[in-house]
Amino acid sequence: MYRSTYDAERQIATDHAHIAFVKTAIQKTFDHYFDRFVAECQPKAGVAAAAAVLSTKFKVKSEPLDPAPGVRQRLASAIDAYKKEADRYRGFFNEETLDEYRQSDPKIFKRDLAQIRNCPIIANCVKSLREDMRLWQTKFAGRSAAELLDVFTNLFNAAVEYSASCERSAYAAANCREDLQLDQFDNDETLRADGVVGNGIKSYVLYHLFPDVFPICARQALFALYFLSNKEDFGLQSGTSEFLMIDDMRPEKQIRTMEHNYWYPYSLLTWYRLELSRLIEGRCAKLGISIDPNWRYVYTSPFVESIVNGPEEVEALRAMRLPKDEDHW
Amino acid sequence: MAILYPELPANFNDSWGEREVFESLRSLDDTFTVFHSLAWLNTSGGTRFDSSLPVQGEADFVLISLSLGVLVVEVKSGGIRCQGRQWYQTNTATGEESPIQDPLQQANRSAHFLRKKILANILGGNTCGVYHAVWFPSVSCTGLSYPIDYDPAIVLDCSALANPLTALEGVFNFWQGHFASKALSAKQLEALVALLAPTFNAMPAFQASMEARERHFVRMTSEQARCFEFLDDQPQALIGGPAGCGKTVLAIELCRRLAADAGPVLYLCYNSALRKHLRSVHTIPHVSFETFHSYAGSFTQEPGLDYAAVEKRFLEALADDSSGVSIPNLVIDEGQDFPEDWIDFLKLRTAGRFFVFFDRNQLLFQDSLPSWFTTAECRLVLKRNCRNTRQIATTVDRAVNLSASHLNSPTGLKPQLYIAATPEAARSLALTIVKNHISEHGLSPTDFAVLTAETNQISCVAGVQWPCPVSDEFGNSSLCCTTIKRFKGLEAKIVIVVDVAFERMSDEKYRRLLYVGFSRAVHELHIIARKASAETMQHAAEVLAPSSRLTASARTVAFLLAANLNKNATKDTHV
Repeated sequence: MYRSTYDAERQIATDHAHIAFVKTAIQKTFDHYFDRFVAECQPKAGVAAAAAVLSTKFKVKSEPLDPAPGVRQRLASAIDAYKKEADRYRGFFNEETLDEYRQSDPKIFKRDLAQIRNCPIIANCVKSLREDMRLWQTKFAGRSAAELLDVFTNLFNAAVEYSASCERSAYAAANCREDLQLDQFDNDETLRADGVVGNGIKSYVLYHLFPDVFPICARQALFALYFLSNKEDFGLQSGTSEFLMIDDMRPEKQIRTMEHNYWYPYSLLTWYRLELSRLIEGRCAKLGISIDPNWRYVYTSPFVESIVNGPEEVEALRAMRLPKDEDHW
Repeated sequence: MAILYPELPANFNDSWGEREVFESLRSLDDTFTVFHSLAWLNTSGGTRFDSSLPVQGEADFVLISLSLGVLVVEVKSGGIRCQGRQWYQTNTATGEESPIQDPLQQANRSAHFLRKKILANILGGNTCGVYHAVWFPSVSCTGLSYPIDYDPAIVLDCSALANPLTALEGVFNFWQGHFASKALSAKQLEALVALLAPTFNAMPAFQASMEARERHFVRMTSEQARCFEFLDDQPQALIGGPAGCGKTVLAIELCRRLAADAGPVLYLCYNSALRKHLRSVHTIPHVSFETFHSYAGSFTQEPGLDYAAVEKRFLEALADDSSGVSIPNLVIDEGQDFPEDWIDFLKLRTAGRFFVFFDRNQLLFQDSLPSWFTTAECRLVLKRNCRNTRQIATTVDRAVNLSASHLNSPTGLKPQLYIAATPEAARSLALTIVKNHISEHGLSPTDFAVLTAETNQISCVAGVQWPCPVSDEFGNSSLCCTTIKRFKGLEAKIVIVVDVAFERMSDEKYRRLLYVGFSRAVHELHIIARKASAETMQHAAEVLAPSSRLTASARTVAFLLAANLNKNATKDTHV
């Protein structure tokens, strides 16, 4: 998308017919990426492949490798890693702690927010050496602590409210984006601090509170959808993928890079991630792996990670970005 | 993924092998249930459950498979050596070798114990196969010659880590070839898991928790009473403090002391319900408990006069030097409810000592405090809350934007906020709370107060059929259902405040009313509010947290009141 045509293209992106096209494209490429993911999950994939080659030459009978244990192991590791990280977020974003900051001093909240033990995503952004994080860092420094406390309090309350009222069976059976009833997370201005707390940070917090209903909506997720949708533009006026953002409002010589679409509607991203989780569930079932819906978006995370870390994809992403940029996946 | 107990062990007894095996077993599917480090105690009453076994033991892993049975696995990592039936283990980090028990015997003992336990506790347990095996995850065992009680089929090595299912199926097949067993039923599995990992939830008994908190409150009030050492020397004093700091308790104690040392004492308050309650529970020689109006009435002794006329006559008498009115010693409680002229004239006619207890946040019947409250020479401020739990005290403070610390107060349940869409829903909620507490916790009707922020006539609980006797007065062996104003100065273990209207939150007087209502609760506070629009909630949030940018929602208001938004109860009881 272009920043200049964002509003019009966003309208198109949320259209049901358009969503159906994107979904079809994702379904077409999904198997390719999932097969690659399964292969990556095998601890001795190289050895097994070598054994298969040898068996053709020396008539040694090799057992076909069962891919399920490797995938299981990978998913289990993802849960372990999630739990460790979620403990940090949950220890910080909870009613008692937020209330304590409100009663004591919001300035302490801002200081603690930037600690890796409390909110790793903010800490990483604050410490990042990436050129394109400078502006964010300046804006973060300029934001009032009280305002940030309000935003995160609102976000926490909204997450708890959504989780409490969300019927999990209805969520799992949702037929369209609207069924998810996530509009508040797209539109409510009290849930964001412009230029500082956007969809990315917001979704990190939400995901680490309720991973069964809130996926991460950050660069990795959007780039993964970009590849899964086969980099198509689906007829958007700008001729670009909706999962990318090109800031054409800067002078032309300053347009140096394509970024993930940091304005992508959270509800729409969640809808695609839900579709993805269904596809993953289907393939896992064939492998004899049952998926626990309580960890829905934790299960999809290693798959998303695998997509953007593929050699071709890494190359494509590198081409979009400044050569001197630090690799920060 | 296998079902794991515990899901994430806190440690693996510093054993690399146990960690590796655990991770490997994790990859089994969910037809397997895996217990790590299962300790057992071989006792039954004062004797051993099985005399052939040691008193206690531990199995490194116990695996339960619905179709295959139960398997006890002993894990030994590092180098393993057996010489002349003595087993040795080498620590790979230090290279140190030490003798160990026969691992298969260890596994066998645990299996034997489990077999007996299952037989004794699970219906049809005699058909359940309980087997044993050893796992040496650091080494390859191909080609080793074992002692005669070992078989290669029941010895797993490093190769089993990558594909545990095949290895374990080999073990089960070996044993089932010798000792056939039947598959476990789902019910048996459930019973077996309950036997090995029972779930219990032991909570402190409700009544016991309340008693413990009450002992705490008594201790805190006693500490607060140290102020008497200071008051003993004062002819007049003004004692201020927030709701729950024990003003009434201290006022009565002060009356007792004065009556013993300085002669008769008149205790005056505003609220007749408080006077009635005090009269019923305190009989102190030379101390009389009165409200201002009851005292004025007894003094004027003219029948047929209304309150205003009684008040007027009494004030005229107090102003008249020749009337002969003289109060020996006076203790005024709820002084903030006494207008300026009452305080001035009563002070004027008190011959002995004069004390006033007050709380500026409980100013409900007038708009400002008497001027003497700012000029009194001796003023004392009580800060410690001795009535409410920490959680209730916080909510009480939030209603009027106070932010005191209550770290010394005992902890209790967070106040519950319910949003009722209709008066019927509110009524149903109040009724459910009372019914549940009576039936589940054995509370008596006198433990409750249902207080309305409106009048009794228009309250949502007007006409409710309570499950016990009800009265609008406190302490009649019945549930007290009255207005907040009438209940001022009193307290109840469980308080339900109904008819809370968030649209009135900007009215300071209304918030003081809620402050009084909330602060009557000793152990539990339930707030039942009317459903309001988003604008109203936004407004309420702004009042509770000025200059904030919070989302307009009931949850935000609950958050700001330090209460828990109780949605489940609302769902259950909506009509």
